[in-house]
Amino acid sequence: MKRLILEDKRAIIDDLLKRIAENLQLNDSRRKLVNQRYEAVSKYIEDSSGIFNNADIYAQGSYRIGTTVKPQNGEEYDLDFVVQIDKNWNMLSFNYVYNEFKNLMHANENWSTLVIEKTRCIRLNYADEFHMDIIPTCTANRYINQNEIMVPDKKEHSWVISNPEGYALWFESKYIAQTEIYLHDFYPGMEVRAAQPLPNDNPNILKQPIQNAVQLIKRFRDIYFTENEDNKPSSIILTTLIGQLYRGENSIYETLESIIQRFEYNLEYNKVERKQFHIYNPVLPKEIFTKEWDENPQKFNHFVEFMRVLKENWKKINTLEGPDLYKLLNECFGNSVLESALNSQGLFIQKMRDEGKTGILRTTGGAALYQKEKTQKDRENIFHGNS
Amino acid sequence: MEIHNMFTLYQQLERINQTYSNWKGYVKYRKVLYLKGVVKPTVISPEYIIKITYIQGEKPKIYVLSPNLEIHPKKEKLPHIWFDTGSLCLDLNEYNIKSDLLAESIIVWVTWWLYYYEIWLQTGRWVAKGTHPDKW
Repeated sequence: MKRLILEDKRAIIDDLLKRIAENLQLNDSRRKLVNQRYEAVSKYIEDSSGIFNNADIYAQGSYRIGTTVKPQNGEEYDLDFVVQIDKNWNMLSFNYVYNEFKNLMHANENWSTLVIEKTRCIRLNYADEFHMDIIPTCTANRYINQNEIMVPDKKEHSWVISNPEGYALWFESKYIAQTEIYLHDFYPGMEVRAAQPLPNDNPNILKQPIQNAVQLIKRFRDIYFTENEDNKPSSIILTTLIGQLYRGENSIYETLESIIQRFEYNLEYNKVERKQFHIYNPVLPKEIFTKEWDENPQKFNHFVEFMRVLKENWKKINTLEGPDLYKLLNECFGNSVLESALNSQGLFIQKMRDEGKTGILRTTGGAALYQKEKTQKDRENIFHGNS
Repeated sequence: MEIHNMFTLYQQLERINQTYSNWKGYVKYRKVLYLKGVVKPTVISPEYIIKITYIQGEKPKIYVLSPNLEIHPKKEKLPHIWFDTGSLCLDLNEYNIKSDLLAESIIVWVTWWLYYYEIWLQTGRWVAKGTHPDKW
């Protein structure tokens, strides 16, 4: 730990953004519950006697890459899982595999009442704030790429190709080393933590700036499109765009700033070239995530306008201070998440104080990490007063 | 007599001048120490102008001159204030008027009062250690 976050503008803003993002994602107790349920469902499927015996079962989507965001208006977290079997899909009808899986889930009394049929997946609709969407799939061609899968799609009436694990690996290939993350130097104990491999269940400690950036932009989208749901860009569009424009920036703030700038540049370039801006699946380039922009150009215009408003707000974050900055963060991400973020930052700082790590800068009176020459040492106190 | 061990107002001021460049002060009639500080508790905080009046042997009085302190929309009063005087209340007798230096205590706590006030103004919660936690 080299400085206190309160001494450094990039750090204090990043710390707040990180805490806002933490308030948006599944909390630790929810994660545990998800894991328990995932394990129970996995065991049941793996041990079953039909075609799903010994299937590979894994997370995909935002839960897989750690970018979940609490939905607005009491909706539920959508957690996606894949059940993958190594059967020759050419020999099986998509309907057969889907129905076999549906029957399997119905056959278990733990889940039979929770099952809901969706276009591609079976949804287990739990009573609390999340549901699990599980897709039964077959490996597309295990000699070429174990991650490419065929998914039964009832709307398309056929198998469709997908590669969620490949996508997750693509996203993860953008990650930077833990020690490079800007906030790394501002939290106690990070040196020890950095030396150990992080557990896979993704503790809410130091996420990658790109993960936090995805969460924040998704949240900003949810708020921006509250009254305009039909034109809301999907999470896969936002996540892919961010992944493609990210260049290893080490803070959340810079990540967002660079993405906004590069998006503008790309937009201009496409305009000059008279091309429609599109976002492709990086691991299945034939798949265009933004196909609907051709059919429905207004959706594209809404998206461009959304990115412009994001840019306007972002410019202000660098110049505003105190209550004005908080007001803006409230508008962007919602009041209750900022409140929790500020309270948790205050408690974190109080802990630094209790541990005797803090001091006061001799030049500005600013709160700082204690260093003999630069600061006056902090001293314990209990605020009092009457009313 | 204990009183002889007390730091004089001049000693208090000298220590403040040695320690900080954002605080200035003077002693009037050898009885009252007046201090004025410009304090920016964090890099994204405004600069607060603070006045302290300190009479030897009494509790120092600390006022925020600017910007105006505001009250959280769901609260009625500012937290951790002496309402008779409007002085900030920084301690529950951790400042020992007989043996302590303002530079090492009161002035340090002013920063923290302001930092926690900024959070309180947004959240309505005083997250540092304080008395009457339910109230504030």
